[in-house]
Amino acid sequence: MSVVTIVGITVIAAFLAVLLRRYHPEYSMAIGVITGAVVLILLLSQLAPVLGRLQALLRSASLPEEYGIILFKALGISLLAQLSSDACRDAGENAMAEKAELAGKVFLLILALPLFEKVAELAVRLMNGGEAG
Amino acid sequence: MDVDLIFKIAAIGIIVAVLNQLLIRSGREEQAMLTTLAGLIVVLSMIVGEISDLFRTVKSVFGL
Repeated sequence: MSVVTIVGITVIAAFLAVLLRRYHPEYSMAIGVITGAVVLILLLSQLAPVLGRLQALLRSASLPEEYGIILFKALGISLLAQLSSDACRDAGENAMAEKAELAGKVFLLILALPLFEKVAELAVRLMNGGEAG
Repeated sequence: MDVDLIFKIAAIGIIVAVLNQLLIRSGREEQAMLTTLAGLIVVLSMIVGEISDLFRTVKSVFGL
């Protein structure tokens, strides 16, 4: 598995999708969706050890473990939202693509809100400390 | 390898397109429509399996 494999898969799938678009646009969309899924699965199998290394790096920088976990979760949500919004946009459904992106943003906000609360708490504590000192 | 799925879907699409043309030329439009529908259902069932596989992989890799 190398970059050549993935490049070949995408080019051949694009060729097949363009070939089928004239007769059956729905098959063209199916090829687009399944190519995205296959390429993502192939990439994620390569990415898993990299994420483990990154987590070890964060741990050695003595950052709390949960920050890295939130970062990776955000990456996963973004990938899924991007996949579905690209599929919708290829099919010509811009409204649904926007909804998928909106869903991704909402869930990212839900995920990141505790971190933001922590930053706000820290800022408040710093300001109170400055007044007291 | 699941790359074969792309070729399978393309093959199903081409076969359905040819059958569609043949059936329409011979004046059986309802059967042509049903052929298209059957091909679409087969393709969608293949896609659903692959997408659930993708979701499981993303969940396990990113810990969602």
